[in-house]
Amino acid sequence: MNRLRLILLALLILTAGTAYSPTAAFDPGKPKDLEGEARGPNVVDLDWRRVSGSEGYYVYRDGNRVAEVERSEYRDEGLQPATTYEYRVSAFDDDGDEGDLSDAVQVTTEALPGPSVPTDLVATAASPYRIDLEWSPSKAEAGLDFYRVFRDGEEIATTDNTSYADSSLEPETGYEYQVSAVDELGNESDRSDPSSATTEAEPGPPAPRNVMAVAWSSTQVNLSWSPPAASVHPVQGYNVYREGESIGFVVSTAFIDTGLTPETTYGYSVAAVDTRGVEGEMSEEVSATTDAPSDVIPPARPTGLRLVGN
Amino acid sequence: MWRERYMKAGVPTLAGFLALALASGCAPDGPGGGIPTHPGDTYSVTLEWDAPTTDAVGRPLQDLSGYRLYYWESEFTAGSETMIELGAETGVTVSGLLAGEYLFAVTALDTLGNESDLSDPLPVQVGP
Repeated sequence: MNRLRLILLALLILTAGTAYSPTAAFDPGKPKDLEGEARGPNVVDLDWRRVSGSEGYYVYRDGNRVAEVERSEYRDEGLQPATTYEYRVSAFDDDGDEGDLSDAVQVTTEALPGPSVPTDLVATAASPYRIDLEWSPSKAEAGLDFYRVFRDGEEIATTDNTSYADSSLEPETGYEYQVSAVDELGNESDRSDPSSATTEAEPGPPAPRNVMAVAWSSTQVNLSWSPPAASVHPVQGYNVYREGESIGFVVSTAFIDTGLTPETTYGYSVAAVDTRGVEGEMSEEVSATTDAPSDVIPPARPTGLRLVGN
Repeated sequence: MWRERYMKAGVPTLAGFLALALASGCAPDGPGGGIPTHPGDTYSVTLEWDAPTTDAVGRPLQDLSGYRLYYWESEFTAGSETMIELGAETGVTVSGLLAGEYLFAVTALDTLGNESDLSDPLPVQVGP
């Protein structure tokens, strides 16, 4: 009986010990020297000192158990870039009993690389007022969001495209452009190599229309014409040419060429001059032949024809 | 053929300057100037010029007898001119003109009926 009583007592003590002191059966102490290192933007490598007698280890990330491993190391993958994680590990034995958690280690994943610098930027003058830009796309790990366009160092636009048309510029003016890329995380590349272009000169007026030359006498030819259809700058007058030589400037659309030789054919053309003083396109040449000479000597022609007020 | 060329040193002609000051030179016909205008309204234009003092080769002119006024509607189309015979006065008022652009020029006549070349033309915007 004494022997039986002894066994019962021993059993009682063992059971009570198991129930009230769970670590009593496996107490390797917490794992030591936990170290973590980011491997790029999405991976963290962990290792720690082996715990003798352990069957394996649990890995906790930010308080949640994320893995069970046999060896004293772990690669945590699929993480967010530029994010700080807190890791702890614990050992467990072949009964599944778990030891204490290690000290925490904090690891920050690397940021994604920013977008690459846009290349091959080409600026081309498209008109007196517009320059067209084109460049090669940037690579962006985080996804490209947009490009910034700079004119003479100042940001002027953002675009999703690899081209941009800069308008409302001044004629005959040089501009320098650069482009940078911005990814979905807001990371901006360096600015591209600059590319420059100079806007075209504004054209002079188009050619006058309906130029007519009609011989009036043996010494006179009457010229008239219509203004150009449209002109960037207003027309202030016309240069009149006879046989390619300038013979006058008039603000009206008519001219009388006088002092000519009888029975001679003359070619005429007219070009409009705008308010900048820029002469536009020459009209087609028209010609007229003066009349036969007369023997008589008429009066000189009247001069100073003018309107008078009423 | 685009060329850049600045205005001739000669600057705008007399006709050009006059053309800028047209408003004072033409007036609506009929009583009560200033009444709102309608299509078909006619206008008058008053012109003056300077008499020639020589003949075409520069000799003093002794036998000036009168003038002819010619006008065209905006262009010198051959045969499209209207001619008015005038006396020796160096001015005239032309009435009955419809609104539009006109070119005016005058010639001088001697007693033998020899006619001078045209004066420099005067463009006139007639009407409102």
